[in-house]
Amino acid sequence: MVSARRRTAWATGISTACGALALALGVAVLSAWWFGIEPLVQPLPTFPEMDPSTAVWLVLLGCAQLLLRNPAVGFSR
Amino acid sequence: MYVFATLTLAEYTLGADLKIDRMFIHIPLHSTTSYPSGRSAPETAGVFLILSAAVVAIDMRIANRVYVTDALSTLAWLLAVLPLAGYVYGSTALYRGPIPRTGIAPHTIVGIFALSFGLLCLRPDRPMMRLLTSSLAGGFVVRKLLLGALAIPGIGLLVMVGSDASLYEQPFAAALLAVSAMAIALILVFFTGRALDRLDAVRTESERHVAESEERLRYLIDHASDGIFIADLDGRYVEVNDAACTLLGYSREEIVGKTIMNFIPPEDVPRLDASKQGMLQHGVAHIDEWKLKKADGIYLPVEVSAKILPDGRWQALVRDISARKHVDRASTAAIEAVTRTAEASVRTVLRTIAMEAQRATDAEFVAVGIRGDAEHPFDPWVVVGLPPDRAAAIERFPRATGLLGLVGTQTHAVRLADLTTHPAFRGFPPGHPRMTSFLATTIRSRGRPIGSLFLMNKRGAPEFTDHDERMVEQLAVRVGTIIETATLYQAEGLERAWLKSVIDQMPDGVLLNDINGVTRAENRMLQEFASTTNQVDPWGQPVRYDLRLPNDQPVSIDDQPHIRAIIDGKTTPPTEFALYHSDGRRVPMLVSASPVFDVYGHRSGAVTIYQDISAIKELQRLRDEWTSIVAHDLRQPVNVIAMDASMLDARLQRGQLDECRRSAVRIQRSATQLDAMIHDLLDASVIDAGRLTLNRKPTELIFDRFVRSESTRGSRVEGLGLGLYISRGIVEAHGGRMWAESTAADTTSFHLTIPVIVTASSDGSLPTVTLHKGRTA
Repeated sequence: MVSARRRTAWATGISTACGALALALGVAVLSAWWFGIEPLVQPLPTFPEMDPSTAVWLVLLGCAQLLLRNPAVGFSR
Repeated sequence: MYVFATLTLAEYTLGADLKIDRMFIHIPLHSTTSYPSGRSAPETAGVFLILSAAVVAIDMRIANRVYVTDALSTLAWLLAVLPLAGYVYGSTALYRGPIPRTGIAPHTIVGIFALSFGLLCLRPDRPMMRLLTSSLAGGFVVRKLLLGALAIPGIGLLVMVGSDASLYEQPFAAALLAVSAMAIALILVFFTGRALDRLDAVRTESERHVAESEERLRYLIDHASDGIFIADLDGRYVEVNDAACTLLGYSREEIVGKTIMNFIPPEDVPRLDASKQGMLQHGVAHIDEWKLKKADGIYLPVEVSAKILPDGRWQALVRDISARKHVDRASTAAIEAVTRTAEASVRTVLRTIAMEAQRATDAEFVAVGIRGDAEHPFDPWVVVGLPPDRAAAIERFPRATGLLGLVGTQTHAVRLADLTTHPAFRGFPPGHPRMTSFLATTIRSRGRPIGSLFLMNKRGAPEFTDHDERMVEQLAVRVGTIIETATLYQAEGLERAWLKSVIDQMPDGVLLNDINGVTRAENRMLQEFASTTNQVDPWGQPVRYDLRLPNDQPVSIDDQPHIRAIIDGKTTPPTEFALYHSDGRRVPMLVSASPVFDVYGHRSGAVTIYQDISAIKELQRLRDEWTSIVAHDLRQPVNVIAMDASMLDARLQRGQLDECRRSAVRIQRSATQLDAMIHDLLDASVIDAGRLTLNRKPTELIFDRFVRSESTRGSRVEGLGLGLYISRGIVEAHGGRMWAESTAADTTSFHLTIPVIVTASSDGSLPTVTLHKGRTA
């Protein structure tokens, strides 16, 4: 059985990576909207584009996920 | 964020534009959507609303083991899978929303996956992640099936690619997809089943090992020499082993269900509570001695090692220490016997050991013998239980042969139900009491046999028990050193007494001080001089001897011979001092001191010798007096004789007959005077035999020989200073006493008493007075 400490360590690592990925994606798309980098907003012309609101949500949820890595932090106890 | 997503959905539902999408973001790109630029698609807003709720409710639970975040994250993940499938399989309906030109972008799907999986990983100890990461069978199956479930879309994609490339027809593609999914499912089932089978085999093997281990443990518990008690959370015994039952004399059924309170004395209850609290707080095994009540009502001394088991039950290992207690008591009594008196008697120690062994085993006779010489193999030999007259009736001293000799060659105790049946038994000597049960062991000190302990005739039982044997063996080991110590004490005591006797008999004073100046020994001669002085030695102790210089000046502390020897470590040569007796007499002493060293060469004190030289001093005074007598008193008549004799011839020639006659008279008178002096000297030497003059008062000194006052010396007063000396000698020879008393008026009166025997006459004449010692007056 995976020990509790080891499981917590790698789960926290994955969570951090996922949060950072969402945050980076949101920041990248917002930047793309701002600087007019169309391939980042819409990878293919036939695909839907990621809207700025969606990018903002990614940034905010990514930050929230990074902050919630500490078990002591939560919205309800 | 949560509100933001809700308002976005409300905009779609109500067809309103709340302009919230452009509050923070300026949109430089051209808008290709049908809805206001910057607003997310409704399905995207819905998924983010779910994710926002998952974040807000991170620690909320739906049920006992179901968390809101886990459920919402999984839902968001599943909602993101649909548009992903649309992209993979080319179904635009799956990623395009109900409103034209809207939908979930592919990188939005990536973000949703990252966020939903990240939220699940935030709390890895929750049931879903715990199951996913478990190494047990459940976790193993979940991981395998999840892998298969993720593989099926990939297979489907490959089938679709082949169909798009016109490699096969649509029905073939559908059949291929179904067969592939079935193959994946079969593979997963097969491997999962095999893995579960292995796991089950391992589990079964483990259970078998556990069962065997439990069986061995059960065997060990049942056959343990110590009692094992296991109690539940309420302290009631749920399991005990055979040794525990034997220990207390109860059956297993009688003990199970009871608590420790049923066995300990009431006065130990507070101590038990304190012990429990200590174990609960510190969680370590607690070892202590207790008394447990046996079935026969007797309290048994035990040593208990108690511990709280991981499951909360109490476990106690109980050991009977009654034998150890007997040995402890016997050892303590023997040690007290050694230390009670300064000169310990080995016999006293042996008797104490024998009596304690008798008390512990209830033996009728106990004997202890220490190895002696060839003539007396056991010397000393102490017997308890045998009256002195019966002991005296035994004609032979115990010999180290037969059974007694056999014991000394054994490494363990010898225990016999009937010693007369043993092959080594040689019979009892005449007068020996009849003995049957026998228990004996060798007494050892530092592994070396020094004697033997014998116990005979256990009262109330046919033979001695295992418990008796253990106790006796432990006792023999413990008392060996004590007996050797007692032997050394006795030898040391004898040596000390001998040394003290020698020192006490010495005519000189002997003083022994330790390195701290403490008086360790002083002989009788010196003790007579002990007095109180105002001086204190360097170690703060009062100086007990009034030592002065020959001129009567006090001796400083640092110049005291014994202190110099202790501090300087050097021998002080014999030096003349004056030591004052406790009665005030002044006695000239030659004092010398030497440091004393221990076996390691370290200075440990000093020895001081006080030699009374008053006799030598008296001899010196006599020599001076003699010189004076010879120089003056004896020469005076001789000179007169010589002068008159030399003039006699000339006067005869001149016819001076009267002058010649006067010269002859003077010669005769001087000769008579000279003869009297010589007689006095002879009488004095007779009287003086064995008498020694010490410093005394002047009224005592005048009775000494050759004593004349300073004023008469060199004067014409005749005499050698022997008159009073001779007078007292005569009086004392007749059993009388003579003394002088001086008054302040410079008058001296002399007194004498002589014992007489008065006999009344029968004829009326004066009674007859007879001196007590032979002469009649």
